[in-house]
Amino acid sequence: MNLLSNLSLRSRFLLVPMIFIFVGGGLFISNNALLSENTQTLKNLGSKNLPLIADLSELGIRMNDNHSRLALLLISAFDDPDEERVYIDGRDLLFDLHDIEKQLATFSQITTERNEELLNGIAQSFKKYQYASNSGIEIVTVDAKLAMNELSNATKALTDLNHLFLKLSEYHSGKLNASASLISNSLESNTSRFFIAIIIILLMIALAIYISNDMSSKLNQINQALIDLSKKKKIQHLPEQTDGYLEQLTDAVHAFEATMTISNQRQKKLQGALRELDQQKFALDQHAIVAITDVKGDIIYSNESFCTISGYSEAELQGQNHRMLNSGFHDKSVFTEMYKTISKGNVWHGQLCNRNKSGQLYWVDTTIAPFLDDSGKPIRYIAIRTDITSNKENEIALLKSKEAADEALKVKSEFLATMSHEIRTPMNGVLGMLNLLLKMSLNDEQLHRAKLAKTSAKALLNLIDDILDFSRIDAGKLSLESIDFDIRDLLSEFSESMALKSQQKGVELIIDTLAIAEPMVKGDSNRITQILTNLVGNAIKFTDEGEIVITASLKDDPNGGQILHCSIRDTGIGIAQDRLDQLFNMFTQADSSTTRKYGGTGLGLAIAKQLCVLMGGAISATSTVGQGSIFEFYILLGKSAVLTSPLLTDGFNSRHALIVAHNQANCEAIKAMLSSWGVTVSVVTEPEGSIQAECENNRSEDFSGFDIAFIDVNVIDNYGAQLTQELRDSNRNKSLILVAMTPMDHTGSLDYFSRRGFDGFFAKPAIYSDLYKSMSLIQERESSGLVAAPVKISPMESEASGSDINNTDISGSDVSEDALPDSVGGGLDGIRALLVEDNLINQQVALFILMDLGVDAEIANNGQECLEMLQQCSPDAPYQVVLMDCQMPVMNGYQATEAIREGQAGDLYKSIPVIAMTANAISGDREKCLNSGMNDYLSKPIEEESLAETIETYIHT
Amino acid sequence: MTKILFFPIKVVLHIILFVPLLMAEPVAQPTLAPDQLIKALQSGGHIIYMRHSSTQRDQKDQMENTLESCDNQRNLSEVGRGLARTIGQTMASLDIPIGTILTSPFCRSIDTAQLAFGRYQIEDNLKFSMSKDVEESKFLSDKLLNMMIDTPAEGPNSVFVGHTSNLRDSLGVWPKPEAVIAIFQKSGDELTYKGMIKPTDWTDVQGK
Repeated sequence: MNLLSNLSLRSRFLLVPMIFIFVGGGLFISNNALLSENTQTLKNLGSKNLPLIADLSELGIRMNDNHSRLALLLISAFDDPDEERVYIDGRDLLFDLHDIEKQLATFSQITTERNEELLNGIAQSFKKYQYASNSGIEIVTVDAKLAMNELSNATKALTDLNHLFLKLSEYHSGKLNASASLISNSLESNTSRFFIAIIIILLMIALAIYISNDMSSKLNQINQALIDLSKKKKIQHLPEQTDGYLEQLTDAVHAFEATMTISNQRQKKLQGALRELDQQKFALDQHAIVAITDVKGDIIYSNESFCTISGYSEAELQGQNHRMLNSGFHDKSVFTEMYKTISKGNVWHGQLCNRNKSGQLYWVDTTIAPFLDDSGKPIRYIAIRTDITSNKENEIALLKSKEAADEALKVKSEFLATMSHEIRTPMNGVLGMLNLLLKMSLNDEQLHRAKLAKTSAKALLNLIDDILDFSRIDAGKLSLESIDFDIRDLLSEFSESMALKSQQKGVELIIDTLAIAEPMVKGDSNRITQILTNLVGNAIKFTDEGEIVITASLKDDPNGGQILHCSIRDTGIGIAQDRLDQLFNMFTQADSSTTRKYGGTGLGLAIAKQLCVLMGGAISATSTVGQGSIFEFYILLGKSAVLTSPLLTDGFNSRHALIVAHNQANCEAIKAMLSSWGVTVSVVTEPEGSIQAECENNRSEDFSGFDIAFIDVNVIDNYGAQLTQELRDSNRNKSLILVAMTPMDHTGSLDYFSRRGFDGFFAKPAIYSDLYKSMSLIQERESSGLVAAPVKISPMESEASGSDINNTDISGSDVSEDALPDSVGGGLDGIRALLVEDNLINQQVALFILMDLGVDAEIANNGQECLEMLQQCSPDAPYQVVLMDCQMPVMNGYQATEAIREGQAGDLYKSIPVIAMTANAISGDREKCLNSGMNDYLSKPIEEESLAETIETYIHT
Repeated sequence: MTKILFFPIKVVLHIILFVPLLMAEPVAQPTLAPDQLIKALQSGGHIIYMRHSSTQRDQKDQMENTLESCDNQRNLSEVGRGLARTIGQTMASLDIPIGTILTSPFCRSIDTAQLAFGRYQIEDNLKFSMSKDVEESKFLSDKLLNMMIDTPAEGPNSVFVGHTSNLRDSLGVWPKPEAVIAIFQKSGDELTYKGMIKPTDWTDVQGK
């Protein structure tokens, strides 16, 4: 019986009834369609053609009838020409014609393309007939002959009309005939189809009877064979089959028999493998937490370790969804991702936090692998886990402590920044007071002590500034400016500002900017100066003899901007290799003992490093103890859109220059710069007899003596003034420009240089502009032919700009700073100023300085008071300037200034000069001050000189 | 089939249309002689229905666009024109007062009015009703009846110039021959047919 369920066989049996159903159904459908089609045709015939034909014949009859009446009427009028009678009879006749006309109009509603012409013809002929009848009736009593004409017209029209009626009838009856033959044809074919179908069905039934008889006997044999097999008996009897399908079945039974034999053998092997698997599982259970779930996550199996860690018994777990252990610790997405992975047949691995029966959390390292069916779809999942609760707890604890540490560090940085700022305010007070004290008449002992106090206070202030900078950078609160500036000028001015200090120690400071071709860049010049100040300041501090060489180069950055590379080489004490690495860490010096000897906060290099990093660069140092150190840094700068006009050096080409100086490095730097302009350079470091030799050595064809000689005044000091004369003498009578290179603090006057035969002089270091101007003297001399007085090429110390070169100095004297010119403040007598300051000490300091300058100052404690005082001030003696602190209670300096500019203090003061005085000079503060409407900006501690200058600038403009 | 259906409708239609027409015909009563009629007219308050004057027999109204041009119509003959003029002059010489003159839009009526009275107003609903279908001839005859009833009962006589069939359908009077005038008198909403004055009657009257 099983065989009967075979699909193919079933189709065989189904074949006959199916054909029967199909043929019968087809017959029914086609019959039905035909019948409905015929019905439709008949309907159409009934609704259109038949009544039309009937109406046509009726109309024909009526028309003819009418016409006889017309003829009769017209003829009768000959005998009795009574107009009225003719009219009455004629009127009925004409009304009938109108009736017929209306009926004709209904025909046009069933117009088809083919009968349209006919219908139009009919309408026209009818009109003609109507008209003729009308005219005939109207005229008959007057003119019988005319009436007869009309009658003949009418007869003609009627003949046409009858003819057209006939045609129309023919047309429609033609259609009727066609439909009728169509119906008869289709009915005929349908009948034959029906007979064929009946024959097919009869044949099928016969075939079905035959097949079922034949098949059932053969199938019984196969069935018997299968029953034998299932009872594990040998197959008794199974004859060969001729039918293809049954042959396959027989083959299958034989194959089945063979397979059963093999499968029995395999069964035994499998049992062995299963045993082994059980043992493996046992081993696994000893180590891991194992659970198996179905695809929905319901637990099918759990091992003992699982029960132990989860706290549930196996029975409690059985059939429960694994979710029961969900701790809620993880986000839903974790499980979504897990399910996604494993449902695709992949292995998932991860760490999960679960909750056990008693509510405690535990961590497991989990691997989930799917069991796949033949098509690769998961049917079960096995989860193997390891308890990692203790590891995880440690990890979390570590993470928490790290977060806490980071937070603490940040808080510390912020605290430091705030503290430093707060300390500055009283420190400014201390410094201001000390400055005032120093201006009083003190005896030597008092003066010494006051100076020491001031030096210490300044050192403390520098330290605080450094801390402030450092903590700002550390807290990420330092922003960089981006302005266009000339890097070569910056380096030149910087080296000049540092030169005095190094020269006072007898150390040569050399600047080499040769490798800067296009000097305009974009960046934060103040911060670059800060880095340089730190590095060069250190170099000066730790170098007692020799030189410090600053070499700078500017290259294009492949990423767009420019790279400034700078190295500071000194011949100082050097740094031991093992200290170099810690050099840039905060509060570290090469040797803690050096702090005591050389001073310094140990923050400078750390700040320099941070600044380099902020500017996209880095800093490094190499050193040899006893020989010196090299500090190098590079930073990224923007390209400036501003262009400088290039130096015109064409006239320098093929000139000959001589450099006479002791310091080799200095000579080399000058030589390199001059050579780059096409000048041929000779160098003499020991002039004893060698100047002569140098002139002799150059006895080549194109050498006709030197055009210019640069002579270090140290050499003059050592060898005497006759050196210059010697030089001129040995120069083959060629006129020679002699340029003296002096220390910054050289006291020589023009007269001094004139007497020694110099044409010009400049202060070291020799910067490119000094050299350029010197070279230009040759051409000037040649074109004018005059021997003029010596030219001062660069400023000397006494007029150098007030750059603070003492930033890193705590031990140096402050002679220059205290030596204020007496004239300062002379123009400020009687000026009325309003000092806005909340700190009492700072009020006093500023007040004393202002008093000293002759300024008449009054005090406002905050912005609000400032506004009130300005409002209440007598117009006879108005304030001329406002000195404004920025950070104040009630109303700060920015708000107050904005209010003044808006006119809240009266129109008189709308444009009064407002000068800010703030505790720290950083770029953001400056912008904030100027944005709020202040005119200028001074940083505390307030220096008398700069205060005087600033006030003067605004009072007198 | 249709014929069977149409037949009773037709019968009903005939009854509805013509029974009232027949009923509207004035009761036959003795008509007055021409001289009496002239006297009546001289006293005013009468209605004159004048059939257009005699026409050319070789012309006929065209089948289409009849009213658009006189060329499409049967017009007055020379005799007819003279006749119209003479009748008008005669009526004037007899001091017959003439009031409103309405005429059919056909040229033969307009010309008749113009020649006889020298003035006219065209009334579209006076157009020839013969050859119209049942509904339209009924409409035109009703219209004529109403217009006649609406004329003033006293003062100068109202004149209508038109065709035969309209008057026959309205009042059962056949105006014969051409240029004849039929005289009616109004009392309330009723019209009384007084008689006709034929063209030849005018010469008789004048002769007297």
